[in-house]
Amino acid sequence: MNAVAPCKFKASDYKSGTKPVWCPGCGDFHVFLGLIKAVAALGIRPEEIAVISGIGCSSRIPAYLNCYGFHGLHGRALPLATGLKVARPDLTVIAAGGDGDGFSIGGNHLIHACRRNVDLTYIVMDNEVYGMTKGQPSPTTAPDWDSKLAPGGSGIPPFHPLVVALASGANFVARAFSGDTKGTTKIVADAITHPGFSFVQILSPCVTFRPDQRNWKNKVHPAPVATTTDPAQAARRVMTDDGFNIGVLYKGSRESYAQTVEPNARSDRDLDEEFFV
Amino acid sequence: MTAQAGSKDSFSVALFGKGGAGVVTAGEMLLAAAAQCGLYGLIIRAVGPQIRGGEAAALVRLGKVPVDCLDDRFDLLLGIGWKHAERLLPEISIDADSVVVTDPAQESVPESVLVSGAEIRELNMKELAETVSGGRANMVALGYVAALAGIPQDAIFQAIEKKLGHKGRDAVDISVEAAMLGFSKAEDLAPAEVADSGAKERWMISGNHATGLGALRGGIRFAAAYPITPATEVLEWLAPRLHDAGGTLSQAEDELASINMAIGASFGGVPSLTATSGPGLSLMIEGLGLAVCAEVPVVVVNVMRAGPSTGIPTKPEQSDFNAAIYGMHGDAPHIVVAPNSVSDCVYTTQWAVHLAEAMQVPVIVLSDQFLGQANVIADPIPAISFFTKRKLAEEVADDFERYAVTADGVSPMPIPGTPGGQYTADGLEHSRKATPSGTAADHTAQLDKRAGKIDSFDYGQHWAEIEGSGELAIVTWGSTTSMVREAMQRLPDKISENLKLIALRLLLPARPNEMAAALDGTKRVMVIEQNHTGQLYRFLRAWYDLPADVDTLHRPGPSVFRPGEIATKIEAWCSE
Amino acid sequence: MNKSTENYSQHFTLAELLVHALVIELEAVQSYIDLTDQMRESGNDDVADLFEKMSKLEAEHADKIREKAGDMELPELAPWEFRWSGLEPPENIDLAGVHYLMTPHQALSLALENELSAMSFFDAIAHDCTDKRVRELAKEFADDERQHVAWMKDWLAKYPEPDADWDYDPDPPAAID
Repeated sequence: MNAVAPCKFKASDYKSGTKPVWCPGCGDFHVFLGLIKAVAALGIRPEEIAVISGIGCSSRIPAYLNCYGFHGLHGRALPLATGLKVARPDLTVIAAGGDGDGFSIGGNHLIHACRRNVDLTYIVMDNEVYGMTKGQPSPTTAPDWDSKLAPGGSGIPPFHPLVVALASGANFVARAFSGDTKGTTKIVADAITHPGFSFVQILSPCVTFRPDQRNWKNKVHPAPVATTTDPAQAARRVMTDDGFNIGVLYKGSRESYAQTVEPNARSDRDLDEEFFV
Repeated sequence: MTAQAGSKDSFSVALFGKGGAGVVTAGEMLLAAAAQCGLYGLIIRAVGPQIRGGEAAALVRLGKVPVDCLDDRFDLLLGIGWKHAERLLPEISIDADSVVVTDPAQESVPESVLVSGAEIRELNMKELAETVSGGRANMVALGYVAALAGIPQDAIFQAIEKKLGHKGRDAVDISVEAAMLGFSKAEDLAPAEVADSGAKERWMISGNHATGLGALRGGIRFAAAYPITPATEVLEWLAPRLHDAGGTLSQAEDELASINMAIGASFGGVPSLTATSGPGLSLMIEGLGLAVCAEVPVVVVNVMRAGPSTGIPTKPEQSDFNAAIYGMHGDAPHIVVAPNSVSDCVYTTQWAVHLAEAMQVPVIVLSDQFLGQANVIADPIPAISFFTKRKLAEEVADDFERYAVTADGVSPMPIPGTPGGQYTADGLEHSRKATPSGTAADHTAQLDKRAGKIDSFDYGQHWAEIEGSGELAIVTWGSTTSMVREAMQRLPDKISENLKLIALRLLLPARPNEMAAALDGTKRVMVIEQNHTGQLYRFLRAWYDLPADVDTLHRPGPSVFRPGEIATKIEAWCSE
Repeated sequence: MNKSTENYSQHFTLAELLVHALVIELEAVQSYIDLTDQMRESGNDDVADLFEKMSKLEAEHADKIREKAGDMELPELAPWEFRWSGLEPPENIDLAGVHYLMTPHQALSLALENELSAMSFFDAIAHDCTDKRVRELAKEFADDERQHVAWMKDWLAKYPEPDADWDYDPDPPAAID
């Protein structure tokens, strides 16, 4: 993304004015900022963007945007977004949600969305907790994190969503940090413009249930290596990094999901024809 | 008008064989040949538990008038062999008037068959087949059976050509020669005189394909697909044809994905559909609730199989009624329709698309395995136009309200891309402006809107098929309808003249006014359906005023009703 | 933390400096407006009022910078083309310090941090930049920020430090979905 987009829109053009329900201090405020700055910089008309989400704090985001949105079912943002984009390829479709929504109940859909490689962008605001339901471990929570539902910690290690995305065929994989608005804006803009399924994990601290994440701003750092086009290399890096590398980690060149055969226009009579004896 | 039992108007033949014998192919060729002669007919496949190599039976019924169900009995049962026949024979009822054809070189006729008193004839199918290099016993059987059915040789040859032509000249010639041998053995026997010379145009179509056709005609241009027996054929038929029509079918990873994909596509303005069976419907229930709340049109076809849970995947039942009607949590008004014949699968599915789009609501179409996988010879199904048009918000003013409470309850929907129409569709309860709301006023207003739009809609005559008149009424739905119709025709005049049939097509919402009119003057009602707990019966009791005297005939699958058992029940009922 | 932004301060044109300075203020305005909204939603009116004042001050500052720019054509930069010293524009509030029960003292402390980081942003350019005119303008901007720093310190002194239990809320969080 080198060229400067003509500034037809300001970031504020993408705000619906609805006041977010997020706790003051929530990282999602800055993710929101990064998202609207990105689409403003890209000059995409607000009515041609659809933001699709599941359930959770992060999934409330569509209502705060002056775009079309769908606040759908827990874990099901990706199939909603997929159906929409396949039926309406002219739209810019962005799926969004949290780590519980996306990696737990939505885990299966993540794998297949990566496989399918429909041209859309998936933003997961990862705060390593189920925030909306008041603090349960999520698939990215450390095994020793104490909570009411899992006293003493779940004992189950987190998984590597970026590695799974790479193994499943995602065409663009990145990690960002909500406190780095400039970096997030660039990464999101890159993700949107890159064809195919773009997956961005944005570390976004939960001020209410994970106050320990206040020090994330000191732990994040730009990835020490350049973006790779080799998914296996990217997977190894992500699987062995400290979890705080930010940047575009992988850019692939898969073709976006499309029909594999040309349509063969048939008339209504043709359809009937096959049934005549 | 449907075929009458035991008359020259109807001829039922069952072909039985083990895996690899090709009885289903033979049965399909028989049906196709019958169609060539201008006959009507129907074929059902019954299979054993194996994926390959298991026993199979082709159950064929031919008639001079449209055939929509199986007869009580079979005129002819032919076994290429009898291995494991006991697994399928319970579905093949024969009696002293039937003819059983057996191959002396194969297993001997099962005891249950002998006990029927049917006439046993020997036909050395294996030996005859072996006289033709590459010849198969099922073709010998086909020729023999066709002769007995009064179907001319030419029709059989055409059917073989059509089915095997792609395999090359030799394959066709071999099969024709084998069939000729079968024919020649039957020449001295009186044919059943079913053949009709009037060659009119006919269609051969299955319920699943008819469903697909109705969907396309109705304007569906997106389908999400997850395979499940017995619904997969709806989706496989649609896949290339939707694509050719400028639409898309996308395979989903599970039914949770397929319902959500369909809703997403519909939110984008494209009429959308998915098809499944009971287990899939259960997974889709949450998604359907989302479509109800967010007011997004979507059609879900449920080709019902015997339940509960995994149930009997290859057998029909009408036991998903409750799931379709009551499955969603919350107060979630929606629409449920049911086709009542294979041909009706076209119209009812098309109507479902129309209703979904007109009212921005999910519509569940309850088909079943019997309809879905039966192949019938029918009159061509003409296209009709339901004026399917979603109410769109194309010009959006500043004070636009996506969920405005309008007179008919349907509020214009802006399609993504429409400037100024931006809103967030939501499963959360919402205000008129589509913002999340938990207030009593908004909840009540939206509940009233979503219920009102469905209740106040004019469904016209399509809500039910009402035939006949009298003080006695039979209420039924779905595939059972054709069995009831035929049963009613067998009844003595003094009963049938006082008997009305109400075959519901619209199951939900309830139509108290229309039903009251239909039941005007009715003193006794019988409800007939194929499930264990009388699901429609209970629903009728909950939603409609019925006369004091209500009886019910309900039993579960796996066997479908036969007209005879229904006629017997009605006669007994009438003599009470 | 600053490894990738080393030497950001050496190469600025006049126009670039102006647009950076302007954006710092405009972003600060928006940031304070957002925070005002958040505090109002939480019923924290004292701090909301403070943030609202802040947003107006920054807006005035933005106007001054526009005046200074005069007719000069400022480059239209994409958000990621700005060269900040850290991850964020200097006057973006660090969310880690925001809390719905925060006190005016804490709000002003955050604002003070902003002014300090803006000041050092301009100081570095005033010191390092190869272009003399840019150095001079950067010094002006730095001095403006120094002034703001002084005001913030005075203002801050008027408010007491937060109590030890400033963030105690007897009610648990609500799960709304």
